[in-house]
Amino acid sequence: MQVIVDNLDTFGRGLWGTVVLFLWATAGSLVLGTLLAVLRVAPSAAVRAAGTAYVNLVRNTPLTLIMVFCVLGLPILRITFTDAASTQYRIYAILALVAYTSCFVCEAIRSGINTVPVGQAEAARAIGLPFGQVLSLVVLPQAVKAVVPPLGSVLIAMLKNTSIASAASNFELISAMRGLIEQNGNAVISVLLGITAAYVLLVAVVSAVVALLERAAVTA
Amino acid sequence: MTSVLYDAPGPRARARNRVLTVVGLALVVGVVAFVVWRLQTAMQLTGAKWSVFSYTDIQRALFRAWWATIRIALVSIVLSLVLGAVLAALRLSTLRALSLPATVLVQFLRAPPVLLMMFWFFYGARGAIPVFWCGVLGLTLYNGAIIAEILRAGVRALPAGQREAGLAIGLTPSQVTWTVLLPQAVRSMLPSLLAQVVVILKDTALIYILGYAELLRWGTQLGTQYFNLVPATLVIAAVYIATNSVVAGAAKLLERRLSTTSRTTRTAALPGVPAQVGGAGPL
Repeated sequence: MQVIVDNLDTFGRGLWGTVVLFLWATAGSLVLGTLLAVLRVAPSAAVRAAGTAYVNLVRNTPLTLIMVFCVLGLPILRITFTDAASTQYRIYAILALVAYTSCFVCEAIRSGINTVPVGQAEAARAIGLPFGQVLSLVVLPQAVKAVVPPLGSVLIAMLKNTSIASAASNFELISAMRGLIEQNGNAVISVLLGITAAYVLLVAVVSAVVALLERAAVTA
Repeated sequence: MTSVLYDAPGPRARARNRVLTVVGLALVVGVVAFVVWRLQTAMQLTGAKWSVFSYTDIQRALFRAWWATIRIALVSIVLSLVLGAVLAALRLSTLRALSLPATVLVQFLRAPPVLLMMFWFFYGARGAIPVFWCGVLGLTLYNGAIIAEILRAGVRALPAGQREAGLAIGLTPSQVTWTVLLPQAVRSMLPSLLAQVVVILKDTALIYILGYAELLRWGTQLGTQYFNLVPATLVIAAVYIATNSVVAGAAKLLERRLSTTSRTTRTAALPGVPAQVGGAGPL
């Protein structure tokens, strides 16, 4: 374990890289996923079809391919955001994570809305509530309870998927691990154990936050 | 159509929905047009970039690369199912000495990323394990744990009488698990298991990062060779989507067939009970 202690700064930077990717991708995929869910429950068949097409296409593509496309393909298409290379790669990786994860966020939200019995909305309409209030006072509060648990597992999966950003020139836990292993050929197992422990810890933290939110959603 | 969100539309709602359709379609057309324009201005739609895919040599190589991916997936699926069944059986064991370590192992294997598990074998064995097997073992450990959870959920959903009847006719607890409980769990959880097959198929692309020559690696190499990286990744994406859609479609078909057959077997399993009673009540 000495190798971890000696390289605590590299280790810490890797951990920070993973956390930054996770937080940005969480924010992005929650926004895009909600938008997709709105498309998929819209009262127009054409709009629903557009949402379904995006979800089915992207969901069946490996994230590694999306990541490779963002890093190698977007520069060819001259879609760039900044001149700083490291920031550029970070943005590409976040884009790939958001494009992929938002499909699963969308499905979690959509199936959550579908768990609310139709009678609930009918009763709300019968007492004269307008569309906005049916949604905000009756349907969504009940849907949230069903949405939080699957959304939590989607985000935990995404946290693990940030490891694929290492293939996109991002500095995170896996890149830190590969660098440390190359410099410390005699301490491979220690490095592997340290990085694994870091992921287990991160997953435990996110799971704890999700569990807290779940409890809040149920009692709300 | 009434749904949770909308009442059956009246004349005004129908007019509003028509406007929404037009706006929605305009947006979709706009996005597609933007993508095409971007591809066009970056010279990605020229014939030279796409014509390679009409060569039979390239098509054959594409098929071989696809097969390399399928081979990883097939080996991983079989091994994951074996590992998943063993872990599920251990977790269901009445001996705490068996169920406790299995529980800890399953929980642990679900935490790290699959990519890291591949690197365990890749770096941990110092190159003694071929890259193919590093990928397969990583996929197997992770998905074996997930499949164990799926199977355990399936067994727990079975009526207690299944286990009791097995024990009553003198089977040992492990015989009951392997010959009575797990086969039924596999059948009832087949849709979830097939969904996991799609996950394995997609995750085979991770072995690209280890440098193994599979579909994605072939695509990026072709792209650098012929300066058509964007068309190459799009073609590869289409191959993945087609493959996964076939599996996902099969899953959906199977789910529908299973839900109908299980209804008939349930009524058949209750002789003397009129069909409508068997179908309606919680019998």
